[in-house]
Amino acid sequence: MTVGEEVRCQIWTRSRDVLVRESPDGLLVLPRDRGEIISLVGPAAEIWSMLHRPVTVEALAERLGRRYAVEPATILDDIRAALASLLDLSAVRPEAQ
Amino acid sequence: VNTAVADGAVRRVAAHGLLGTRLENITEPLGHAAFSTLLRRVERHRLVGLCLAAVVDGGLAVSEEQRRSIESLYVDSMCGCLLIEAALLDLAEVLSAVDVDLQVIKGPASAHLDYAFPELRTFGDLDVLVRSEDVDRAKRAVGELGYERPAPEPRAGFDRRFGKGVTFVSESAVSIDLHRTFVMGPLGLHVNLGDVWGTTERFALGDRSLQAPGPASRLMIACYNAVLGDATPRLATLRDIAQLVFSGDVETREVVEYARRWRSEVVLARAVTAAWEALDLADITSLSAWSARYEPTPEDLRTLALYRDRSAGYAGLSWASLRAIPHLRSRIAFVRALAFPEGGRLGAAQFDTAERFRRAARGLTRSGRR
Repeated sequence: MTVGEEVRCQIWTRSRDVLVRESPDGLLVLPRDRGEIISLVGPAAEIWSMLHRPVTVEALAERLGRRYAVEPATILDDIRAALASLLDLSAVRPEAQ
Repeated sequence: VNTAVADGAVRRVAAHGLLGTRLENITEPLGHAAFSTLLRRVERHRLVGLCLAAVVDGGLAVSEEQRRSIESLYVDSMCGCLLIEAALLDLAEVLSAVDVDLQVIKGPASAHLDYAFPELRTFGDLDVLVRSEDVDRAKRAVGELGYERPAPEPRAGFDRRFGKGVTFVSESAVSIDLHRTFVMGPLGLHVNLGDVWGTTERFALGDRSLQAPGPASRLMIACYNAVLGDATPRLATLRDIAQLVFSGDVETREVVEYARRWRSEVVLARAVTAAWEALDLADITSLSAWSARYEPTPEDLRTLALYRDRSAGYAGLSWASLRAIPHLRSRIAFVRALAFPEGGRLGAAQFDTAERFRRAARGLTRSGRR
């Protein structure tokens, strides 16, 4: 699967080998294969928290849409962009469908 | 005055969330000097997570600037914990590759097993326990990870047979204490490691499941740490004791039996009493009542005095433990290892041989040679 195909993947979960602590404004995440600590704040932290089990992009949009009182369809691209960033940081992985 | 105020506040932080504490909330922000002292104390006592929780829950009133300082210290501490946990996973992988079992002890195990959230228990180094027969293989594996040993082994085989453990430090200042047991000197030789390896508990970290001692052993380890470790025990260690006692996971009968078998009833009683006093707990549990009733024997007092005599140092404790080494052959090997460290192995940080004998003799005298 190429990176482009991974980002279009519809089901996501957390990377297995990630260490995490809550921070005052989000999460501190250490993906082991990356070896550096990433601070996730705002929606990025919320998305990562929601991925404790495999979730579709649509389900993420539904939940975040409710939370921020916006139409889920209008935030699908933002969520995909956030997932692409998290994937680049080795913090999430696409789930085989 | 500032020190007294900070000391009161740090005890309140240590007791945060315990329903039975009589320590009252800090309702007014501390002055600048007292707050600076509090921050240093909170860091030294490994209470940074509990401190932020106390601020959030209203147990510790702070100004906006003070809150930002605590949050900044919290983020630094949590990053430190994450790096230590990453080192733990690296260690678990290399030890697993050479068939060495490890148990995680002290801070990282407490954080994941004894608190509602690991954020509440900060730690500054990594302590793991391996079996005596695995010590040499484990040391080689740690060395292959790039860690260095600041103090060399006195003589080949000493670590495996007599040592409490070996400290390794990485280039990035992560410290690993590789333990064979968790207390040096005479009490260490009575610890039944079969009890510790016989009942274990697991927790998930990253993609691995790691092993730790069972609750009764974790409590005993915290007690040794509180009573025989630093002159002033870390409040996090005393809080660990309270966490375990209140968890319902520790059977009083079981832990008292461990303490009896390990000839450490005085350590258990003193540590639980110290936790109750420091955290000002009103609760009476069967273990706190047993601890309050426990009358130390003359032998208990001699042993504790030996550990408290910091000038006796390692050699004093080692000589005192001769009485407890069961087989003559082991005694001879131990004496040789102490008296004649192999050439070049003794680091500059360790005192010279004559000084070591002098201190050892002093330790023996004070411990009541029989």
